[in-house]
Amino acid sequence: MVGAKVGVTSGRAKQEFNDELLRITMMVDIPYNFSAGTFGSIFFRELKDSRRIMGIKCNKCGEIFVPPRVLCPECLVELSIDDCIEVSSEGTVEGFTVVNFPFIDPNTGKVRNYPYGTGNIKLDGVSNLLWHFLKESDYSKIHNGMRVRAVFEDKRVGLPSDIRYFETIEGEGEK
Amino acid sequence: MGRVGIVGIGQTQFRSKREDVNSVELVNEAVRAALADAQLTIKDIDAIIIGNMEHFESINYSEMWTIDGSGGYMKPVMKITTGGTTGSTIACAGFYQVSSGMFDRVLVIGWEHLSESDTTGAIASCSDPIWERSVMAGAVGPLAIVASEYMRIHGTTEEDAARVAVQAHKNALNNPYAHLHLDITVDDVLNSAMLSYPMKLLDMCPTSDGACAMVFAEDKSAREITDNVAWVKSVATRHDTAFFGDGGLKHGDKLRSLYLATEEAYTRAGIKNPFKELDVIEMYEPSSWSALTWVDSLHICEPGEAPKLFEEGVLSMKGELPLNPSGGVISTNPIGATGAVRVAEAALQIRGMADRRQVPDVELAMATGFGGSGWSDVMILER
Ligand SMILES: [Zn+2]
Repeated sequence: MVGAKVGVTSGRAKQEFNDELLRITMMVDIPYNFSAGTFGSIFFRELKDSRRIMGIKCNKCGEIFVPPRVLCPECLVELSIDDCIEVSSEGTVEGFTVVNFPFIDPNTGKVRNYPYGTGNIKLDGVSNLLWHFLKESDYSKIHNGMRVRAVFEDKRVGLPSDIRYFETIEGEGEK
Repeated sequence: MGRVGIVGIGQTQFRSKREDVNSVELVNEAVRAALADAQLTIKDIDAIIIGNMEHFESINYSEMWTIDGSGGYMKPVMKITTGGTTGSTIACAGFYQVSSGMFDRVLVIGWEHLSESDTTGAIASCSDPIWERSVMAGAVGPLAIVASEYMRIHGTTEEDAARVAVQAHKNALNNPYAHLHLDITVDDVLNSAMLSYPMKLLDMCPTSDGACAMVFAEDKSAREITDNVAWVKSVATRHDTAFFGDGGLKHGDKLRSLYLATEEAYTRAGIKNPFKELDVIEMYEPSSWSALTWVDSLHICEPGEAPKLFEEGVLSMKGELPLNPSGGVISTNPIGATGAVRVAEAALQIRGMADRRQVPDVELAMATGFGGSGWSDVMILER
């Protein structure tokens, strides 16, 4: 029972006990099966079969969002599969970084490869940003406003990684 | 609705590894300190709110696990898990529960034992598993992306950010609870390892072990406990959409949820000129760059002016509006407790109990919390 007047281990006793403290290591390997949902299934099927990036156009405000989703985040209107449209696979970098430190990738349980370039990409005609990988991993060669295009994997499996990364379109975009 | 006040505050020592305690003992350390401050025992507590991000310790039902530490046995216990805002949300919830009239005295506890797992990996698992987890690099990656935008929009330099980190660490030297006590220079920050351009090691908060507890009490009960109460003046919360690309966090010019939550909190509190009226701010700033973007979101300056406020010392301990006398998140980050520490430190300032980090004559203090893909909590306290 806790309480201001109840003591546990005294400072001195605790100090002497410090050498005895244990730390117990465990590795866990837990499989997950995530549902892509109605709109996700459309997105990944189109990406895999036709190298098309699908978005959704709100039938009220007309804004276009990637990935497609059930609700317009701006006006909260319910959207349907009929509102799904193909969007451009080219766009502009609007925020970037080059991740340059090791950490455990929660998708694999292993240390993720680094360094890697990543950024928020404003696909042409789309209202929001798509967060994805950049081909370039030297930060001195990336800038906001840079034009990029999607590079698709030859063997696609229906995952965001079917877009391998976005590569720089040389000669385009503001400096 | 009667007033609600904070009458007891307890913090543990924050360290990179608290191997001397398990999570139950860690929680108990903060609970004892808060009860001792309020001169109460657990018998005097009507309900308990406990906050923790369970995936960091990989324990489900943390409210059950920690029951011996929290003192929740045979009491109403509620767990809150809202990411970085967890600690500020438990403060909001303590206020809500007491305000409801259901309970006179509510104990709120935020805690994290981050050293038990890989923090960046665990944070990455907060993003949608299918869509964004493969690019997500903990808190560092997305905050670095926002930083790159802030640089572009406002022409901000890496030195501007480094100055913020130096101020935070300097303040932390006055806070015995702070995790990091670093006496560093702008050059030290600029020369520290590049984690994720433009974010360097010393721009970024650490990962800490620790807990923070507070007792919220209704008007009459609070005045019976102590004549030194930090009264809640107003509270506001805004959550953003799920995807990082959608809006909230992406805007380098400001944090939309914080901009709107502070606006509401000021309106509810009758504050017309926050820069003049607030005496101190404890802002949740997980990095120096975040502090720049988010100071711009508090309605205390024009967008892009934050670097100037730091450079001119306006937000320093001797400035017009001191920011994070505690050393902030940049010096201490036990995630489920981090937002609670902001509220606790603001309350200590109101109560004149902040020792070497005390700002003179604090009448009005604001605490903020940040989490998720761009969520914000705001709590304004008054003497
Ligand atoms: Zn709409």
